[in-house]
Amino acid sequence: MISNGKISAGIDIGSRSVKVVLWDGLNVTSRTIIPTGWYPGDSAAKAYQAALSQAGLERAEHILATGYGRFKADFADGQVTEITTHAKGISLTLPQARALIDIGGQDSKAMIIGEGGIVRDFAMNDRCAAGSGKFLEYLSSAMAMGVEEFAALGMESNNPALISTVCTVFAETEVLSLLAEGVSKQDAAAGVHRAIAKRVAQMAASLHPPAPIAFAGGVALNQCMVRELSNALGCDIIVPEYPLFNGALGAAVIAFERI
Amino acid sequence: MLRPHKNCHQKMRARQIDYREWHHLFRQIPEELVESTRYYRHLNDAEWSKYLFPPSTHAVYGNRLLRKLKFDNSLASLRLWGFAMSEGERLYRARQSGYRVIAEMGDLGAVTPLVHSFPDTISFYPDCLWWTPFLMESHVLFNEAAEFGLGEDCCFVRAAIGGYSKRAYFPKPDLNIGVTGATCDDMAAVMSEIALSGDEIHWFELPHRSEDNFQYSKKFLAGEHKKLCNKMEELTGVKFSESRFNDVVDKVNRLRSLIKECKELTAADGLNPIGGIEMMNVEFSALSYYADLDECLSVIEDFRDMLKARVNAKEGYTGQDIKIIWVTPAADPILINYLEELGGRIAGSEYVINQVTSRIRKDCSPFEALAEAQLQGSLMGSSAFRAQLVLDEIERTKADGAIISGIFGSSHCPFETSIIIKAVREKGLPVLAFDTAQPGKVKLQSQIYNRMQAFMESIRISRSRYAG
Amino acid sequence: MPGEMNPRERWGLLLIDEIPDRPPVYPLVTSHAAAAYGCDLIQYCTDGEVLAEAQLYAQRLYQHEGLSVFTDVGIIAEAMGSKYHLREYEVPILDSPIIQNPEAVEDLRIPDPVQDGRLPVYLEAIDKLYTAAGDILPVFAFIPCPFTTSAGLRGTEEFLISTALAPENAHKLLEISLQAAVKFCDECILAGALPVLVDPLASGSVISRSTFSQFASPYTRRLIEHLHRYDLDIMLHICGDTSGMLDLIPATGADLFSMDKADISSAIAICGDKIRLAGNLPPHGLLEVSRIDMAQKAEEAVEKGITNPKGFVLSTGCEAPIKASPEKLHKIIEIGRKSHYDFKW
Repeated sequence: MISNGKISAGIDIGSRSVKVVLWDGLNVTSRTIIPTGWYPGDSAAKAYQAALSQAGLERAEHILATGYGRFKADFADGQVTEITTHAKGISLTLPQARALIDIGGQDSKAMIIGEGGIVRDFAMNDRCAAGSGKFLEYLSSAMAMGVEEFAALGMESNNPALISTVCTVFAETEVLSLLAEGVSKQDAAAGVHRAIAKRVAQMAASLHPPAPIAFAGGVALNQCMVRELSNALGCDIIVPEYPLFNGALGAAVIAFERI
Repeated sequence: MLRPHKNCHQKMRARQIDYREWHHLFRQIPEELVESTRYYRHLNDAEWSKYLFPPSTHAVYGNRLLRKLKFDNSLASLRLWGFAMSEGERLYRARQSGYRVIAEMGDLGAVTPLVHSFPDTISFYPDCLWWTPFLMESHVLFNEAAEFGLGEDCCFVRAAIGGYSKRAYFPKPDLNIGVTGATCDDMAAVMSEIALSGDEIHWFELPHRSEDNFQYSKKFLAGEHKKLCNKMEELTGVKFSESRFNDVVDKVNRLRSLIKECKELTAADGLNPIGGIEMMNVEFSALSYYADLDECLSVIEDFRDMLKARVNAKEGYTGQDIKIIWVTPAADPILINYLEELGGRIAGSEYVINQVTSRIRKDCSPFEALAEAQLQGSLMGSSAFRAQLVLDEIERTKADGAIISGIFGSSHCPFETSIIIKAVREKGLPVLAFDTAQPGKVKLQSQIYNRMQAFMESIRISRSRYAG
Repeated sequence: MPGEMNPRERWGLLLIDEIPDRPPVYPLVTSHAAAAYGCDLIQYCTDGEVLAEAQLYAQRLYQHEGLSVFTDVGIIAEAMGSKYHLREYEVPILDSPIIQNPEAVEDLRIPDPVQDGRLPVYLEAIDKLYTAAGDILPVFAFIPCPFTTSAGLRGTEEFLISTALAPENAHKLLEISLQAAVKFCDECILAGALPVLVDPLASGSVISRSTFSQFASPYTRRLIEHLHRYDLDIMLHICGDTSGMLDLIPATGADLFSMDKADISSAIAICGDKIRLAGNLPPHGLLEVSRIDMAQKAEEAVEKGITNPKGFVLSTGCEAPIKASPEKLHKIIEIGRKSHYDFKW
């Protein structure tokens, strides 16, 4: 791919945030993120405009939307699922990756990546909150703290508690009972991370993912989750520099190919 | 047989249209054609026997999903839809006209030829009521099933018990045949509840099939058919007649070969000649002939002619170029439209009805012949057998991938799905599996759409890369 | 209750000549729904969402067996240009008809249901009702017959005079009213409703048998023929006294006759083998001040009605008054719900 002076845009409208990447064929020229809020379409437009002003541009030649809210961006030239865009994104930032796990706000996915970022196979967990960023948020708030603090706490533990249930509702009760029984906050927090990691790893295992496995999506910023996922998969995992923007980057790259 | 529509072929490009467009197009169909398209023709055009009506008619009476579906725009397809959608009323009209109405449960088409060989007798499948909640976008029948303890952990066939309990979906059957054993466990649970509620069931045992005991299974099954035959004789007061049976078998074999032909035409190279929902309606006509075997033959023959004409003329829908094998019928038909919207076409299928696809032999005893056909059942024996059926379809149609639409709670789905997935992947083909969402669960449905879109994108990108 | 039929199932059986567990109970709860819901009639007649909400509210309150989309019989005439006066606590009335001289008929155009007059109010209400409860409850859209619409276009008196003095002109008007009704019916069907045809002006209290046969019935029949082409089962409602024209009703092609002032037993004797009947509790009996024993009326109606071989629906003879007593409505519905056919499955 070469830069031809043109610019494409990838807009990833997730359940928690909208991410925008502008791409000139060789480099990312702008990156913006804003909360999705109540009106995903409006937020997408706002984030796109912010990205353009950051890059000092008026418009992009081709815009592709991805993520659950992709159909809400009526100004986009097309829509692509986040499976395809994540695979494409990681093929640029971590071309050695053969498999990718993405844990987003409301779902998690695993995919096998072929040459040039082609999706060979994929699996998704999107039926309940367990195995997603939502599960972490829910349980950290049950322990009266933010997700970052929760992750940091988990990193302090060498002995994660066993959370036996995978249901978000029951997990809260279980965590509170563990705390009542004297289990440390650190071990409880690490236990929650381990429960999600196990569930995601189980889903990924159905695809027999080859190494190296990359990890993207907002939850990949969580060091405790990186550690636990690596344990659950039984191998090292690699995280791109901007895991949150991976889908938007993939969308921008595909958009550029369509110019 | 009267084939009125022959003189009235629409000169329209093949495409999929919505219920609104059909409503307006319908006005252009000549009155004589609507008047002469009838079921139970031997009743000399009974006032109520017309059935060539557009989807909007059935939508007004509560089939709300029809407002969202895409339909093929041929007259033959309209006739097929009208015929299939009028089955419920037809059962009542049959009863009003003095016919015996037999409920067949759990075997999906294997005993129908025997039942239909008795005079003035038609049959239907309470199992197929599983489509009603989806067509009506309603929980009425599922809520009713829940009153009997059959909730979301049971397959959608639980709607059948709602039909029995509400007494407003089919006339009280003169006989309930319950096929149990090596078939769907959920339907067996449903039948048990029906029996416990006071509706007598004639039980028919389906043995396990394996290569080692094939002859034993066949003999056993032939015995079950004999017992059913005795029951039918007792019910009707009429002796089983081999010649009547042979007449029915001739027609049934003709129907099966027409369906096979339609399936072959559907997989033809070039443009997709027909919608997946229409083809699902065609395939399911093999179960109980939509309660009128003669008319069913005419409807399917007409449909085959239309398909043949399209394939010969290289006519079809544009933009549907990815061939998919659909495994397990879609309880929610809109999923098939989703696939088509995303550029897919259903080129082949494994709808758990392999038992009604082969010709019934006429060179052996009727009971043996029926047993032999029944032993080809999709749900009998090992899951590997069913996986092989899927692979055969892939081979036959040169498909690009397979979709398995499972049912949450269905007893056979979880076991079979992983085995079929493995078999398809070993062939190097992509496969997507999901559980069909309950009617009205928009969020779950959109997630299925999301997966389907990702699946189609990955096939398309791989294809273009290899082509490049 | 397990095993109990819902309204959709009950009506469904009736329409295919089967006997359900009991007759559907369907008093004409139309504008009264606005009063029950607590909105004024201007809102009810001009906002499809309010109409739908009021209907759903009233149905939940009374548990009658159908949702009714009806504001007034001028709905089509208004969309063609006649002016109607909307009132807060009474139904709209004709203010000034569009046709002020006979030649003006030529200038009329068929309205677009999606944008003309208050026709979109109907369509929005139907869609909302069908989406909310169409699996359990039938949605009925009340459409004025060509005869009644023509009166709304020309002015009642002028139109009735024209049937005698300028019949050709009257037929022209009826023809375009018919086309307008066909188009509107189609849109109502597509929105999810079964049309119910209403022809208050064709009442025996207003016109003669011969006017009915020459001017009202033929156009109603053609409208019904159009709907029958789609295999739709059509209810015809004529207000007022129809006892003198019961024998003429089957010729309209209607499948169900919703009758007002006529004796049910006589109706059964005259046309019960050809047509289903609905009726016919006196609406004014539902007023608080009325001394009519509505419970007794309902019991009598059921007793007679269930003997109709083609089937029966317990209903009011006309719309329940806006100020109907909820207690009385509850009472007649309760009696209807206790009735039963000799249903054997």
